[in-house]
Amino acid sequence: MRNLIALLLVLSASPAYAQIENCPSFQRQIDALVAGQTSPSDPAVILLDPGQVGRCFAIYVAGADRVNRLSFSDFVKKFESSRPDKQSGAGTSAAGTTSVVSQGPAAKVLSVAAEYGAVTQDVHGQVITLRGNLSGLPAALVKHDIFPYCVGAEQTNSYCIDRSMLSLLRRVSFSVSFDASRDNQVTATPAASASSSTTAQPVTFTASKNEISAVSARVELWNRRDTTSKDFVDTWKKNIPAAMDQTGKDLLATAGAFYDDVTNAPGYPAWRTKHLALIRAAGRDRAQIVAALNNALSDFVALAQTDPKFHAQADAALASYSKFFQAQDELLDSLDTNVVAFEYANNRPAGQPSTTTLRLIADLPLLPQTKLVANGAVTLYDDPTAVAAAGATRYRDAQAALELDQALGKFSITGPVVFSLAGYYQYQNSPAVFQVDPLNPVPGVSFVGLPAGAKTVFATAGNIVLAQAKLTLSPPGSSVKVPVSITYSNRTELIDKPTWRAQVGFTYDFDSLFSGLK
Amino acid sequence: MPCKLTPIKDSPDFEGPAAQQVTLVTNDHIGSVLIAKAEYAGAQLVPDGQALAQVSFAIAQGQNTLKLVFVFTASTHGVGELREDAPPDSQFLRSLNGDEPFQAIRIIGK
Repeated sequence: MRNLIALLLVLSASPAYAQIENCPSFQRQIDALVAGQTSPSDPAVILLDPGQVGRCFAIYVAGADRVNRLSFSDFVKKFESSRPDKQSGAGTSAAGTTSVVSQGPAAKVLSVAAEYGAVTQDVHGQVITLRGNLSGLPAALVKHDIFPYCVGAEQTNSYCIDRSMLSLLRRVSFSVSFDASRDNQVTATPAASASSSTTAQPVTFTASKNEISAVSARVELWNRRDTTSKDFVDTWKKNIPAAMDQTGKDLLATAGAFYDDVTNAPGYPAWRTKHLALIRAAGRDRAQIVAALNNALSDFVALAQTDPKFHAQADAALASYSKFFQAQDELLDSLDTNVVAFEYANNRPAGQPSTTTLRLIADLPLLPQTKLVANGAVTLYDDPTAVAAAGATRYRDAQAALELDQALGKFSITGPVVFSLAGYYQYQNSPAVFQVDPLNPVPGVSFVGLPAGAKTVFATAGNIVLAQAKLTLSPPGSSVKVPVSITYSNRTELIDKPTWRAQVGFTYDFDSLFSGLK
Repeated sequence: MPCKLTPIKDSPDFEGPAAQQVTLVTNDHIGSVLIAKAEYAGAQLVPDGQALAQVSFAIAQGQNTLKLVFVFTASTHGVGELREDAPPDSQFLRSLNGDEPFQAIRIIGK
């Protein structure tokens, strides 16, 4: 299976390797020469300067034996040894959620959240949510130096992953929620037919296997950031050190070492003098300029071959460029943006009919430390016939929610704190329906006095209004977030009385853990 | 105040009087550009935890290389320039492009 995935990834990446003029900085200088520009810098001088077009130099050097090194078996070996990750919680309608409002931006790679509580339901749960993003795998391939990050026209002549593809995939996320509490549901059935009600009976215990409580997919329909605004630039500047310190250091070290190696190679000054004259002699003829550059680079590789670590340094520099570009894009994508997203969720709560929720999410930053999130959703019963006996229709309920998030800055002990206030309204068109199954009881709910043979029960339908205050704590220097919330509601789906509830969660950001791995 | 760095003909390198203080600044053309890392004559010019639009250093004696890493809000499409700043004078040193975030400038201090 993994080999199949790997093969598909290889086939989906761009093929072949050839034209050096597709490297953007070479292309710019060739264009400038053809246009006859000599100011503010001489393009011919720049073309032969690894201090200005070092990435293109490295691509050329690495490309000289690239085909031999990028074998399929190497790819599979690297693929199997790479594992990235990241995280976030369950949706509003899930048992065991701490949130009444779903956030817009999706997880970057893969996230894990464990939450305990419930906001609108009477079935409390311990839900573990895995949330992932379609860009996770290709992004991991770049981070682990399996495929390079490509720029501009490079995608036409190299196996690489480009920004536009990553940006597109980054807009699509998915999640699976597991209800850990269902492990506690143990069914006991007689091992043999009972011979007497007064004698001890051997039984067989069976744990419930159906622990998936929800699956969802989310697409960012609209994602806009104003990169020219002062607020955006200030936030970007503030986040550069944390997001790009390591990749910046690595790039400085590896590209710097490659530059030193190139410029200190014996014969480099003579090589530059000779080929500067030849490139200038090509005048403004593009074909001749490209031929002169290819000739210069070919001579250069031959010149530098004497250094056994030359190719390795080019490879190391290229890997650093890829990781740097990746980190730069992730930083930009992580900054506050206006996001409108659509989410499809299929919920499979314990002891209740499965439902589908269609949700529209708007995530609107107001200030650098303040944002507003709005949700509108409808929930439908998947099988109306299963709930018809309760007088329910397919249209179960509609929801609207609003949340204001305010970052409170850094605290000495608890680290960054975000305080949130949320309001939620649920129009209950059809009652909440429960399936009565003595062998699989609904956690936390006891039915008494039901007629024998009752299979379905339902509550009185009533609209729900609730308010929530939440603190999300992030201890300094850690990747942990702990959302703690308290919620007041006028009623729940089952109980027609006001209630106060508390919820707590725990999330871990695996991205930061894996970003330290090389 | 005149600029200290002088371009060397037919070369990407510069020369200048040793021990003289030089200030380099970034100018934005497409998006914003900042210096994330800078190293010259064994010294880090950008303190940890910062990204700057300006760095200063004294020209060291002999041949040394100024190595810089730039970050761009427009990612690989970003464009800017690096200039020597010596008010009221200023001179162009390098064109900065998002697809070449590493730049090296050899400076010969005399």
